Amino acid sequence: MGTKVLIAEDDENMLACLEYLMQHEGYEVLLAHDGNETLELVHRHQPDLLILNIIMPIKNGFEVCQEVRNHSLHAGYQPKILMLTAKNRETDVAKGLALGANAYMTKPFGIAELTHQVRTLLGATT
Amino acid sequence: MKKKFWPAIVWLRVSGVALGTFAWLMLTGVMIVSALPADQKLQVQTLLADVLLPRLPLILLTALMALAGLAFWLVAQHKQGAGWLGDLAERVRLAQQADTPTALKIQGTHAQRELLDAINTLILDRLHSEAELADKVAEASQRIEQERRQLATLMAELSQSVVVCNREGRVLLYNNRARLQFRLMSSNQVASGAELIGIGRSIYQVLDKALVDHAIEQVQTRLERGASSPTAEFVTFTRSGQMLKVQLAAVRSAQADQANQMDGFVLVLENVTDEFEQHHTRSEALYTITERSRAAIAIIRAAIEIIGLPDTDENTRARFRGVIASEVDKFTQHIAQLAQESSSEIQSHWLLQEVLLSELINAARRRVEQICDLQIELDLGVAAAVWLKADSYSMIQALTHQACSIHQDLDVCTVTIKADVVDGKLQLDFMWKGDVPPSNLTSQWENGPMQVGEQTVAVSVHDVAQKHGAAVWVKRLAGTADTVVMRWMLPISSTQSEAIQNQLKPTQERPEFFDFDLFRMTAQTHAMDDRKLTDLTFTVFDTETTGLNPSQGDEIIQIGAVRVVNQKIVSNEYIDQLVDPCKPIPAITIPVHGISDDMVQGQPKITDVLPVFHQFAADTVIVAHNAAFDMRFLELKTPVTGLRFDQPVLDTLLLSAVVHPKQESHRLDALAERFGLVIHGRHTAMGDAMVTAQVFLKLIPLLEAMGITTLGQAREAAQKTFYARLKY
Repeated sequence: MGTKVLIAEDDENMLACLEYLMQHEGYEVLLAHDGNETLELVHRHQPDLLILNIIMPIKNGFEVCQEVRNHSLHAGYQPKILMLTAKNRETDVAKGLALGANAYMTKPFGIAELTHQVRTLLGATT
Repeated sequence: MKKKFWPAIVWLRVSGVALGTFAWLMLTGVMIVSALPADQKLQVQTLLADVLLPRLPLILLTALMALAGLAFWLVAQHKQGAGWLGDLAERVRLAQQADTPTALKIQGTHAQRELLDAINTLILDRLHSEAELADKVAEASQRIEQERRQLATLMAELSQSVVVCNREGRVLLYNNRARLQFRLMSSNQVASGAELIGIGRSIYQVLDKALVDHAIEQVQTRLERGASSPTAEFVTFTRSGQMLKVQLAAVRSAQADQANQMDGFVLVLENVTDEFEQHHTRSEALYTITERSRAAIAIIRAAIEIIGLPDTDENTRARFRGVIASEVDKFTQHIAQLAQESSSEIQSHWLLQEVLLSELINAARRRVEQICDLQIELDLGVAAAVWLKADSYSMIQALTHQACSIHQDLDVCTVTIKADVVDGKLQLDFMWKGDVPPSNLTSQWENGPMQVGEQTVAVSVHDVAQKHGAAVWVKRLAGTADTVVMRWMLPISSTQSEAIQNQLKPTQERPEFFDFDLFRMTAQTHAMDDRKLTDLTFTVFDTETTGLNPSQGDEIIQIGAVRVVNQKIVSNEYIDQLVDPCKPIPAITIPVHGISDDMVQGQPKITDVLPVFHQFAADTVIVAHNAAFDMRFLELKTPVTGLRFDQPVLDTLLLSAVVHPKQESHRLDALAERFGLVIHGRHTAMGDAMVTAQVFLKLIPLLEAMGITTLGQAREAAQKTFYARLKY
């Protein structure tokens, strides 16, 4: 079974870009448009990596991150979490990392930068 | 105790006189008899032995009766004289204490009349001396008043709200703008802020003590380091949610050796709620647009890079070109929205100032005459004196643009400008003869860029109107066949600052609200009971009620209260409020208080009024005439309001009984007459509260003369009077 990447993003265009890039990298891609859908897919598919936007409907990225970290649904399972957001305040970065994100990238980003970050995170697990 | 013995003394003296008389008679008799010849001596002895000796008991009895009669007469005379003297002494004391003493009625014996006449002469002399003294005082007061006015003018000229406090935070002075500021901040309309700010009241009722203390500490530290006029600033929220920027400056000690110490502080208050909200909105908008830009750029950049990947097929490239186009569209919309927001932001920063309509219109007319050949006739009427809150420059441009457009586009040579105030709004009409212009033309006048002479202004008439909360339209003038009117409907605005401005009438611009004597007021380190009456702050109040039986359902229908600070009535700080008793007012009581059912209809209920009165009376001693009656009404409301009036209470009726125990009446009218007070509005709660306050101020020195100087002593003395035993 391939490496699963779940992309949580409410903007269709951004979702399309990220989906293409992750597929291009050879990962199995799951898409979520809001916080609840993200949690549901995490529960059902146990992805290896979550690429989380912060500003999302229903539950924001911080809340999703917190729930994933606090309520591990399957023993020993903990995905890597990459927060990818336009929020670049130092306080937001600190909050994201404190809530359990493994990395925090701000928009705009370069493809090379993103793929490098994703590979680094996933390489550490495999 | 001495009084009980004086009849005995009279008896003793009478007995002494009797014994003396007897001894004198005996001695004289013996001497006369011893000088007689022997035969006559024998006759006398026989006479004594035969006639007088057997009747000795009778002689002694009649002598005793005569003596008793004499003694009773003397006692009665003594009593009458002492009573008359006691009464006279009290009348003289009253005359001495009254502002305008009346002459004593001349009656009694000749000697008494002589004495009364002499006292009346003294009273007249005193009045003359006082008149002379009053002239000198008036002269000196005039000089002080002049200085006061200069200070008042200075204070009134300040555009900020200023409050001066002593070291303990008690208000010594505040200007009218501060008073109005606090009124606007008060969420309650009952006392309109009088419960928040007042002379002698603590500023900490409005501002957080910790914040003020911190600012004082900062200023004090800088003073000690030698700074000449240090200030500290802080921002705080009031109870009603308003945001205040406060600047605190020191009032240095007047003593040379303590020049670095603070006697008090000056607070300059500015309501920055609107400014803060605007700033907050701007920051939020900026942050949001930054985030949106980042997201859009991220997508565009990713899409471009995907398109640039060597293995991306044509379909994918086309798809991501679409993504780029879509993001560019969204971004363009964001930019347009930002432009619009910043435009309204710019507009909201237009400088609106008070301007007189006649000045505005005359300026516009001069401008029109410079630019185009249009004759303008004015018919402003009384509306000429209306003040508008306007950006004069843009208004003149808009009016000029419209007038010249009418001239140029319609060939109109004469326009009449007429103004009226209709329903609280200003109606400004440009009228001319002709047909109503087509709507596309009037729309262009209103929405197109304004043309003023050679200058084209990006702002439209619509923008100007919107900024001023106004509307403009063109139509046929009602009731005419050939007159067209272009009408501006402008609000005579009611913004906060304007509300303040409108209330700042020249006669009121004096800070009558000050009392620098409070600088000497010390901290309340000791209990109220030990404090001097002259140092305390009092809330003097009175109520009008539906009847005399609070426990049987009678209710308060009016409450009046004033504050007495530093032995002065602060007449600007008061509560004068009708109260809806939620029950009919008995017709029989209406002639007493003059308050009818329709007068209390729509007035606040007692549950709304009492919390305000409670706050108004906080930290003071309550004073009322026959206080037990009024206090009972307040106490009976405690279960409903949860408010307990546990302040110390003084009763002017009881205090009067303390100082004038011999006077029969202690009714308020009688006291006012006794003290020579002029009464206004008796039997209204406010009128009676004022009279009670004046009576109370007269009672304080009389109590002092009796050695009653503290609150505790006054309460104790009052409790001992006969009247204190009456209960409601």
